Amino acid sequence: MKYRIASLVIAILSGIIAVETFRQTVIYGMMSLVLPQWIPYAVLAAPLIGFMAEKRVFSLGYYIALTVLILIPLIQDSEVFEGMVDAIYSLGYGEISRTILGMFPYHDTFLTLTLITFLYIAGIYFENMDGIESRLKAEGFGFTLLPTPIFLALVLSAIYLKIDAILSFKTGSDFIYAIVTITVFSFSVIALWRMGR
Amino acid sequence: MRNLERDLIMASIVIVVFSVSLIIERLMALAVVPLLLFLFPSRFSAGVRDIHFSAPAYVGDEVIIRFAVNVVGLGYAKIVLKTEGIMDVSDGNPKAGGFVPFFRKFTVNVRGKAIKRGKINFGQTEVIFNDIFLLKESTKELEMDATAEVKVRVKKVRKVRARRKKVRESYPDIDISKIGVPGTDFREIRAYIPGDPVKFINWKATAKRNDILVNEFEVEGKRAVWFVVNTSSHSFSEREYLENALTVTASLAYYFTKRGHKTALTLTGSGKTIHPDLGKKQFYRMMFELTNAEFSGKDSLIAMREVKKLIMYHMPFVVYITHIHDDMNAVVELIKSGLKCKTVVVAGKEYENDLAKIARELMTREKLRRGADVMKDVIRVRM
Repeated sequence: MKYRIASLVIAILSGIIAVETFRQTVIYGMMSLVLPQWIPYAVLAAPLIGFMAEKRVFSLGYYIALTVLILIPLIQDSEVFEGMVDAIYSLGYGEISRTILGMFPYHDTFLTLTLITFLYIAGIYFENMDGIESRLKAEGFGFTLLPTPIFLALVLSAIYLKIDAILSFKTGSDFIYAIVTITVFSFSVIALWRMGR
Repeated sequence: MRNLERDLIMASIVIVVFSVSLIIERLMALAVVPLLLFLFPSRFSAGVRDIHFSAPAYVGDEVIIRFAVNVVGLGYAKIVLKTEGIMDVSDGNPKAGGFVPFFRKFTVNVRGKAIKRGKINFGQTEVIFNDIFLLKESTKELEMDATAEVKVRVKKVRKVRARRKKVRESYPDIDISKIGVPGTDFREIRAYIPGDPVKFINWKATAKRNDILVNEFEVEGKRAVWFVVNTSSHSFSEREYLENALTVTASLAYYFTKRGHKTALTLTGSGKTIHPDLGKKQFYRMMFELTNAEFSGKDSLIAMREVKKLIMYHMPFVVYITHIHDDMNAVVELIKSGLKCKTVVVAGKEYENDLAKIARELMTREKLRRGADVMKDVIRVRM
């Protein structure tokens, strides 16, 4: 239960960070014209409901919702978005493409997304640790798993502080990214398939 | 811990999907982070130190085992001394564990009673090690010399009452190999077997048949006692019953062997049979079988039908040792064949439930009505 409360705190903290990031976008400004201003904060209800209903507090769906909110200011980084705007422009709708581009002004929220992702990883651990500890108790072992979140915090903090240095590493070609993407994706699918068996 | 792995991989997949679908290369770096946790090593080393082992001699004897395990690694270690089925732990915990910050010494101190017979390794220890991020698990069996031979307890039997009568059959035993002195009562003429005394050769019959024939006489000796132990598996296969039954069998076997009777043994579960014989060696043979006896699947009636012919050849006094739940069909089969049979019902598990106690009482009455002796404990052997 103690870890579950920690998970709830992390989930709410992540929600507040994500909503505050989203509030700086033009989309939010447009939304607030028609909808109440507190609407984005409704996202925070998800972990609370999950906590009270004895379900996942920091669920994958909640994480995806937060990621979407954070990715909105970063959307100009996307090749897909850029391609869509270019396509509209080339079709002769220059005004529309300019309007769309104006709706999504670039704001680098990558560090915020990193923070949310790391908090989600911590949330995954907190979510599972209650179960693992009770299983250990049932097996006859009474020790605590507290060193795990401490080590996790150390590792994630180290990565977070050095994320700029990690990202500044340039290969000079997108081919490397493609290879990494395919490898990571394949590894994930294989791991999931093996776990399913 | 599988949920943890699944959740981390799912997080990685979601980020990859975002990265690939929106084509934002930087997101790929985030997708790697959950997978990085899988790369932390779960390697460890463990060694046993300071072993103290006090070995039991018989079932029910005290066992003391104490040792230390040094674990080197980063993660969580679980040390499990396997006691299930071999000892009843009365004091101490056979499990130890905790966080290992590169080095830690764990101590296991257990005191209990031996509950299994045979050559038992009381030091079977397993170390399960989880890495610091609880994603990988390694297991190692520790080598420890804590082996002891646990025997069936043989209790001293002072008197077996029902045996104090003359045998009714004129053929107490027809075994020819290792029995007492042949008497004067002629039994039959049979083919010569190397080792037969020359004085028993029937020269007339030999001359007639052109083959060496010898006279065989009734032997003078005590009646054979055949122990049939019900070790057939059933829904109430209780360890307490088995141990008591084996102790009763061993004690009675010792009693009869010492008094010059031939003894034999059949275990219904496995169908194993030791043919009748005399002496210490026979007792040790029986003890070996009793020490290794366990419940097995063969039905007692089937086992009895298989061995009945052999039992009838020797016409012994059969002691059928069974439990309170037995349907006694095996005994009926023996009695039908004209064998003298005594049923000894041995105590099993003590039930706490009132309904079970009543059922047990009813079954006890039924067994008494059918001529069985119901033993309340192992020490008072009455036949």
